[in-house]
Amino acid sequence: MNPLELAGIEKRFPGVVALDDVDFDVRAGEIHALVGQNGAGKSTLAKVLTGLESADAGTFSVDGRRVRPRSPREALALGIGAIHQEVDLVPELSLAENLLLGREPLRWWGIDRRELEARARRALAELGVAVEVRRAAKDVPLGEQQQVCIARALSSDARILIYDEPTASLGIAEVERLFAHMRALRGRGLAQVFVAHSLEQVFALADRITVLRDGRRVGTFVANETNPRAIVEAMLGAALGAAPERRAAPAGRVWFEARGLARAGVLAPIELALAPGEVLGVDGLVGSGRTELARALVGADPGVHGERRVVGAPVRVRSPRDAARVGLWLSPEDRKVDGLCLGLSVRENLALGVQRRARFAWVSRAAQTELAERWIRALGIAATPEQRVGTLSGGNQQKVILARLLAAEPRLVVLDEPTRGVDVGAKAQLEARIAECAERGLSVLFISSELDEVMRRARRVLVLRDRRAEVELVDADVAALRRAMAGGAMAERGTAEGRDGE
Amino acid sequence: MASERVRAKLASFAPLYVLIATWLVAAHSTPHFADLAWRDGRLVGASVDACVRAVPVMLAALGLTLVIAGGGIDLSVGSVLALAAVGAARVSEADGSAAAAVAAALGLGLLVGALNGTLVVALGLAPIVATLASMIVVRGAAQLAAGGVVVPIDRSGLVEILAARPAGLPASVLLVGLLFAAFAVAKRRFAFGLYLEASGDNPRAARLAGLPVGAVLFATYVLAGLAAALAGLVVASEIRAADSASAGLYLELDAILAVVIGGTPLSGGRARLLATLVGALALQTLATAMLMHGLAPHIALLVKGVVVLVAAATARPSWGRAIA
Repeated sequence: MNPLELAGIEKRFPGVVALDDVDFDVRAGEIHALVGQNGAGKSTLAKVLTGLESADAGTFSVDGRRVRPRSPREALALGIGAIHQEVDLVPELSLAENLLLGREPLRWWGIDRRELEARARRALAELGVAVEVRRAAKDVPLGEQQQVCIARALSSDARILIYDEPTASLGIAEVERLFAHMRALRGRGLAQVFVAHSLEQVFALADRITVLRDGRRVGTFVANETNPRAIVEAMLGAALGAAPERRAAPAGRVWFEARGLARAGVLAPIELALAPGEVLGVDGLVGSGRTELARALVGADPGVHGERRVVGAPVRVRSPRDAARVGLWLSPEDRKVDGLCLGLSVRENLALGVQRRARFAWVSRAAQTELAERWIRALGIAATPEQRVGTLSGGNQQKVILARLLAAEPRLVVLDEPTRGVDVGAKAQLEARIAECAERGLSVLFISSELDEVMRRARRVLVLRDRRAEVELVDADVAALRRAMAGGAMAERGTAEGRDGE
Repeated sequence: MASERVRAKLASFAPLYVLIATWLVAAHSTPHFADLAWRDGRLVGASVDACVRAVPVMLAALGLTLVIAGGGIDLSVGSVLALAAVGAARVSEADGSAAAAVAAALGLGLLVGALNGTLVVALGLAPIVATLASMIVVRGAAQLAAGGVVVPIDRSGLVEILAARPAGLPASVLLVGLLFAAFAVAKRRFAFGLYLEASGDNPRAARLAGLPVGAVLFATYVLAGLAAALAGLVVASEIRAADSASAGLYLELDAILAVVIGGTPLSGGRARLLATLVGALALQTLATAMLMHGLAPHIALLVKGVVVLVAAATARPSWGRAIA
């Protein structure tokens, strides 16, 4: 009898069967990874597991008992705790208050704060986390916030933990700590479900791997007996071709140049130059200034100094509108907050870019639909033109942004984490499209935390550290890149051109 | 899948069901409510009366629909109505030309709209605060301009123009049709509609996508000011005077209700112009029926509140649960 068993789970949404006859179970002392392309149904399954959605059909049992959790609260009462991709703490409350929210120790005069803090400290100490529990959640790094979420689930006697893409917003060191915790909890006999995007992480952690495709379970594999390639093929339902080749940097004139691009207190002056068709990688740890550089390039924030030149001639870019006028577009890091109009349809979101180029002249409804259908085909977006973008999976949303950029016929695109939260199959498609566009002369500034992805695409990589340009590497390997990001750039000076800004 | 689409389509007609239900109940319970007659080249009856009485709210609500679709709100429309009415009356007192009176009213509406737009877009004030302030200031300005009296407007030709009944229909109702057509064309035939709905849905994303978000939102406040000024002209010519203290009082609330009943989300991102008109008509049909029925005013308020709640609940976009 397993702690958690699901059989024949079915879930339908308007127009889609999200889960179709899915069986799933977790054993005590096991980490069970759940993988699949975007839209394969893994997020839906995680939601069913944590009570956010209830299944339309199928059975759900905890310790052999049939249950039907209808809310996260009910799931938690059954011993199922959830750790979400977005940390769900109340920012203004202290860590202790967050940890015991709704379960505060009460005395006749009210909440016993001393007891509250003592309990919170105990719960965190059990996880081996040393953090001041009186600090407000918003003042604590994301990784520690997430540990509070885990401690919260454990302190309410959860024996089954569901992690829904827990590493999406963490840095490398924080991921390592999370994994150490998960391994320790496995040793204590907890059943853990790990919804993941990165196969590297899956193989580092999981005992078994269940692959979903198009809402169906393709199979469950024992991690030791399979390999990443087999899993990817199961996810895609097709054999993998050869990996796309890294392009040689095209020789020739500089198309776009930034000189002394800076924003007071946020970004030290940076120099950039891109040739047509060149892919320039930009990398650095979280907080190194990558996103700030991306936003500064398109004039997204006020107070940016420095000069931008297009084919040698200075251009004025004081807003994203100005940037669009010279063919400079940004795919922002946070696609939901900055990238898309979630309430509008795929067609409308795609039309924004084209409409911008057409200025106030109307792009007819028929032309918009035609445009949407063309890009849906070209990028393999799993959606209809009239579908609301908010209902799409993360990878498909990212494709919509990319389609909007490309449909506007840009000269330079700044892609800030374009593959974050995107599955392997969609990642390959996105990369291939970007490569195609580069071949046709589009310059790309490529920002990504996934180093091998950056290395695959770009010959030159600008490494940022502490909000300034640390070094520019040419034809480096991942190890060198990692050293540079961590601050060991001096060692690389022999092979790379130093760029210190000021 | 198809049935989902049909259901969503049917749900989008919710305001119409409210209007029809209200009308049927009124026709059933109130004697002569459903009567329509052709008298002296005019269509007359309680339904026509409801249409005519709904005109000021319909005009203001059309402008407000654009503001709300852009994620804002405009509480000043009632005061703008009063100021425009007084402005028109003052001009007609001095000069008598209908054109000058209209120009004065529209000019004042444009001015207040631009002021609201500046406060919200350029200074970044919360729309509810900015327009609440201008609601108070503009009402004060209207009373100042009126000098504490009800200003008669009967010397200009304006009253005659708006009292005309081309094709048997009141001119003011045709005015609503014209404004609706103008806004609908701006929304569906120009980039304005797409820009507006994108800006209302997610202004940050719209700005990063290179859209002129500020200009679009500014325009909605100006259009709302103009629409309210038109409503002021209608009100003034109807009573042949501009009463700065009572003209358009609480009109902004009825206009917001009309927009809400029409199903335009208060969070922005969608503009449902026709549904707003239907919502305003439903409100006025209810009010007219209760008046004819002789319901006591306090009972009428209770009924209105309940109908508004029911209507707002049915107009709620059905996709709300899909993303929950």
